[in-house]
Amino acid sequence: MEHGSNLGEFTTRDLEDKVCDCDNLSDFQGYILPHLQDERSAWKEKINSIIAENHYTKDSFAKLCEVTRPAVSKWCNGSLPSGREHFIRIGFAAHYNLQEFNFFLQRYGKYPALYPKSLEDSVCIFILNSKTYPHTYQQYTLILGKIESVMKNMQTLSSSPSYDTSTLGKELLKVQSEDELVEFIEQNASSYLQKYEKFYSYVQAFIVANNYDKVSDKQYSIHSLANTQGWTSSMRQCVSAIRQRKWFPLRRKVVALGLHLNMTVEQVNQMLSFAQMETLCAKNPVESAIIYTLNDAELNEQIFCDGGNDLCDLVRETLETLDLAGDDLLLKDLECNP
Amino acid sequence: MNKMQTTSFESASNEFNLVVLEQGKIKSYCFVFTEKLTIGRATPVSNPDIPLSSPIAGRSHGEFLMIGSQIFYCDKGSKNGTFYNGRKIKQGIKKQINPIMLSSGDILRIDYEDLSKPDPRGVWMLITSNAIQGEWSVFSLVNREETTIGRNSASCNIVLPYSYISNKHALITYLNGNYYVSDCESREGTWLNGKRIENATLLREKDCFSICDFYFIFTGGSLVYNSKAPQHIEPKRN
Repeated sequence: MEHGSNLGEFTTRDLEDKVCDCDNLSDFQGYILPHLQDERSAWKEKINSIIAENHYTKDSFAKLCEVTRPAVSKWCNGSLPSGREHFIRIGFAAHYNLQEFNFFLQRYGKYPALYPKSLEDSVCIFILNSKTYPHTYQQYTLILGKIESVMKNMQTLSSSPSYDTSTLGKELLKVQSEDELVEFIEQNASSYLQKYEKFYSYVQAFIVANNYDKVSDKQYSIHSLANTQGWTSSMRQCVSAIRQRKWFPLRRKVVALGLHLNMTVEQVNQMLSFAQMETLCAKNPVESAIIYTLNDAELNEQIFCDGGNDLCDLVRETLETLDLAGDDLLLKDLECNP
Repeated sequence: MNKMQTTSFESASNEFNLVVLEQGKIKSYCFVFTEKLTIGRATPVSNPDIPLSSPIAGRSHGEFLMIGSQIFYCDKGSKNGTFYNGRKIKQGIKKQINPIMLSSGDILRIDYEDLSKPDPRGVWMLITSNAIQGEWSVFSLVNREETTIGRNSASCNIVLPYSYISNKHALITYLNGNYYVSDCESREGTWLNGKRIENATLLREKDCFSICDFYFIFTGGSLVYNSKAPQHIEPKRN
């Protein structure tokens, strides 16, 4: 591994290659980690720049985001907002366009981008794309309130053909008024009811393809796998919700799920893409460490895919050794008590 | 029909179909949801749902899983592997199976390593969401410097009499021992291996180009294509 390179100038893709080139954890710790900015520092920089560039005071910003002033102060000191809804409020206050909004959600919040198959996100996309409606959080909640009755009757409207996310998104951008939006939602009820369909199906396909018990000819379900491996109650709830196709993907949980299932970086990234999220980021210390560990495990054939938790244990060991900030919740999700 | 303005094409999304080309013969399989279909070389001891005769295929080569409205293909750790849209499917950590989510137009191939020189015993498969009605034709390109494909029966060698096909849609030319496909500025375009063709593009053995819901497989100096349009939404009139 060469040292002396200025890793801060590398693209994420190039940096990921460098991570995979590390011969051992010491290499990763010595040559890669010092150059990565942790999430909190990145967030602190971002929120302060949003406030400064838009000439807000903390008071006025708090009012726009419908939070308290102390909450804004905490954000400015590096504390990440809790919940995607806060990021949406901040995105509106920052006057982002649709592209900037999605980048903000994915990069700083680690949340899915605005998803056309989510009713709430559809309204958000409609507002951001509109030339007549003000691009404010207040306008968003106003319109959301008006389509509530449609949302309640979605199941009865589900005989419409269903479209993929990209097609639905393109059609949504043609909608120009509230009435058209209501009509659009009613006409595409089936598509809305199939949100995150690819994500759920991929997880299920992975389980079915890899956990076929050849001895007893019995197939494992996700639930029985969780029982066998002793997943935490939080991960089990996540699994139950996935089975019912009701789970809203959280990045940390998606990554933890991938590790429990012994997925490669490519497979975890595939799952994240289906959940409308960015792929594992080599510029984020925790995710960089995960990329290193998975790549190392794959190269050295250290994992025995017999339903055990070797990969989770390896990742936990790496994160604990590196003592990375912000990984407590992920570590908890990776606990196994078989 | 020939004089009408070309209309836009809309594909109906029906159940998925699998088209298998092996040793010059074509078979179609319709996927029924909530099923699993195995694929492999048929022997006295193996009985896959989609039997193959190619010695390159393993007895238990792979399987198709239907989950929700999605279709996945899983290579079951076969010796020679499976190619998905030209790239070999990699196994996961400790040889975990990597399910591949399939879309209409995806191509799977079972062959040896070098797809640019495919083995005649190789298997070629196409996933399509259109109900191709099982009629396949073969058009020989031998001794032809040019072959035209389009709606116009007076000027085209391969006639596709549908309003969304342009009058003169695509052209196959023969030059210096090779065949090339090009698009004739058609409305809906001509697609080769998943990409829209801009210029004359070399055709290699078992390459597949598509015009809307018609698929043309280049093999042995001929084009194998579905000669009847699958079910489709009545095109909008301009």
